[in-house]
Amino acid sequence: MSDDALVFIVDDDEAVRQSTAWLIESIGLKVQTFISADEFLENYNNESGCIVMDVRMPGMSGLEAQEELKERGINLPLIFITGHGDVPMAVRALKRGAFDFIEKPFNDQLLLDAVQRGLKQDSEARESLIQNESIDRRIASLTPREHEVMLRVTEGKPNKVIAHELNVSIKTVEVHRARMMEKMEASSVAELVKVTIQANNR
Amino acid sequence: MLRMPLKKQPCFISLSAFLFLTLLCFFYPAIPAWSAPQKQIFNIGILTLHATHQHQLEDSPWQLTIDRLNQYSKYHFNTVFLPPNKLANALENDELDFVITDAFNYLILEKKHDVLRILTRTEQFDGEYISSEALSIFSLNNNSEITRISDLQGKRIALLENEYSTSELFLEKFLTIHDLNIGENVDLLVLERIDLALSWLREGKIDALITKSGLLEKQLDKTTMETLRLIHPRRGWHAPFLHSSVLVPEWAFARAWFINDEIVNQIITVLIGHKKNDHVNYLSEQYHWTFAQKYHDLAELFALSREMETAQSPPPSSFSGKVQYWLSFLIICFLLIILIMYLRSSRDLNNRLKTSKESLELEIKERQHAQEQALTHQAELAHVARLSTMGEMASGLAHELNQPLSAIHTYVQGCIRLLKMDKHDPEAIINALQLTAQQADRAGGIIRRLRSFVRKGESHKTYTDINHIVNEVTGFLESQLRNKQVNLTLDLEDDLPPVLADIIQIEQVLINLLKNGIEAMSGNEQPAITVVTRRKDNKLVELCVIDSGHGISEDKLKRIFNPFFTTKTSGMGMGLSISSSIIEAHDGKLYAENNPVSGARFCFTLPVTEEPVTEQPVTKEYLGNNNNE
Repeated sequence: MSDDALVFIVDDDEAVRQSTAWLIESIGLKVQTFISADEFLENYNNESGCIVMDVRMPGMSGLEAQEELKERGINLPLIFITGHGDVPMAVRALKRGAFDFIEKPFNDQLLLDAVQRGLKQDSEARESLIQNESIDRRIASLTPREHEVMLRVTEGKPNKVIAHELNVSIKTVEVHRARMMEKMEASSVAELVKVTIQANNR
Repeated sequence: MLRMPLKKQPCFISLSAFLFLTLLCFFYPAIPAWSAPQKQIFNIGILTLHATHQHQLEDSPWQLTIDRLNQYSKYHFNTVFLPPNKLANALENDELDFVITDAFNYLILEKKHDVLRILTRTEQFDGEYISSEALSIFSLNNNSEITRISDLQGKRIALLENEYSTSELFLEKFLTIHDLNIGENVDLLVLERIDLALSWLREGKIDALITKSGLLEKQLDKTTMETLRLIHPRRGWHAPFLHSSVLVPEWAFARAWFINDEIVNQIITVLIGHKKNDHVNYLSEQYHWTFAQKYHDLAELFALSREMETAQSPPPSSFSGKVQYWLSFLIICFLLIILIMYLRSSRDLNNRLKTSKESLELEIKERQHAQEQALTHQAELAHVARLSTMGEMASGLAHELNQPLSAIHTYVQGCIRLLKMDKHDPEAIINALQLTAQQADRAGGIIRRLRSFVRKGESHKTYTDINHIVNEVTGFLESQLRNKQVNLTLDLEDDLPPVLADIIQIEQVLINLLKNGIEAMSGNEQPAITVVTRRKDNKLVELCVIDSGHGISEDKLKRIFNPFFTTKTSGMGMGLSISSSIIEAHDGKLYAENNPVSGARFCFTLPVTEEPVTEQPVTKEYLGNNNNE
């Protein structure tokens, strides 16, 4: 969890907005409040953190905001708050990928826990994203021939078989293989396999 | 020191010259001949009584007047002779600048065409100038049949008229007030020659002769005059001749409305003033001019002349006196009998009135009682409806109440957490507790409002501002409107006069109308409601709730205020019916109509009541603080 992480509180009711902000700030987290989903979407600038949002709001409702966030590729954990223990609505929100759902008036510990978990998930997601990006970048730097060689190496084929399959000399395969290992920053075949599995899993 | 003004002088001179020239151009038409090479020309219309005659100015009595004007004034005057109607037409079209007309026609022209007399003609009698004229009626001295004017009934009269004598209108009026109508009970012919008229009178072809007073006396010798008798002779104090009619002012010289004073002054100077090298005998001529006389007494004079005539009629004979005495006696007796009968009947009437008054009072009391009962019923019904409305609104209210409660909960838990920590900031805790108290107030306000709304009670009317009710109710319904995402617009007229109303009941009506509007728009893309308040004809205040829903079909529109009629799946169908009865109990009217484009509007009117100065609009007292938001 980075220190820059923010908790975005979106609620149209000033009292609820301020009390929630006060609570979260009391455990030393940074908070930004917004009167509507629109205001949040206008001002959000890819900061890390999580969102605490009221479901019922004038203008864009919570569920509509969820769609919009997905559309814009904003993957912040979304914690919904609602005054109505509206089970179908909760189910719908969770199915669509909401992080959590808390009923108002809420137990402070429940909310704080949810926020903490949300922040943690976001920071992890961001970290793995950075890793994935680096693997992608490495794979992208390979030439087509090196890429072919890498695929066959990870399948456990020896150089001789690879040379035969690609219809080139063993010497050539060895050169490609050495350059590929270097580009992929892998010191052993096992390491290479681990990286490629991570890339394939996505 | 002296240089300054000297320097400025040329500027001043040129400026004043410019101003002078401007004024000159502006007043050009009124500026006398020296400003133009040609003389300015004015048209004078002269009344003629003979529409068919071709008049010549030469040899007419007006010739001297016109000659003198043309000779001595800076202007040139043209004349035109016109009968009364054409004279009026010419004035209407502004074709005449002046008119010369007789007294009667003058009065008509003054009233209809704004002409104004500047001079009155005078006529010479034995060296004296008289500015009045009258009519004289002569019969033969030996004719005993005609002694009074009324004796002329059924007779033939001749009007002796030289060209410019008196008006036919005058003659006609004069005869009419003596019940003589030309063509009906008296024959009138017009003769121009005196000798012919006299010979006809002697031969019995005519019975009497009417002339302008003084005309015969001037023309005939004394012996001839002695053969004639003036009928109904009278003498005005300033007339040197006897006459039969009242005296009326002589002809008037009048100006059209647009002629300015400068021209008028010159005309008066020329016509009244004496010139050194005067035309031969201007002053010794038969006609002359003098300052304008009063013409307005003419009508009064005619009303009076009839009375004077009757006063001079011979006294009643003793026989008719007795008849009149008995007649009066009988009439008085008759009146007395009627009076007694009337008094008796009025006494009966009084008695009957008394009984009916008593029964009416009883009836009024009963009616008042019934009315009170009806009001109680109405208030009870309204109360039930309010409870039902509150039931329907419970979910919205729960949400509204949940907001402050949730905030309170959060603050309190946060405070506990902080207090449990070893190191805590008392400032933060105090701040949070203050905010908590605010939210508790807010929740209390909602509860208070709810309680006052469902409170059962007698109808209690106070002077109130309808806009205040609108603000309260829309605040109350805010969460409902928000949940349904309804866009609410308030269009409230400022400074509305107060209405005498039961605030809770009017709030109930407004809540009902708003709820109906919100429900009518469910499923709409952009639901919108406008609440409008307006003053109407100074006597009414109107409130309209306008929605953008699907409107109401014509057949439903008729039944919508009926009890148990509903278009909704839920609801009793009592809302509008009760609202309508509430408004009626306030002497107002509730009605519905469709908007031209889409949706419906529900409006009600309330009568404006004069508020006693001391009383303030009571609204805050029961509603408590309005703390939401």
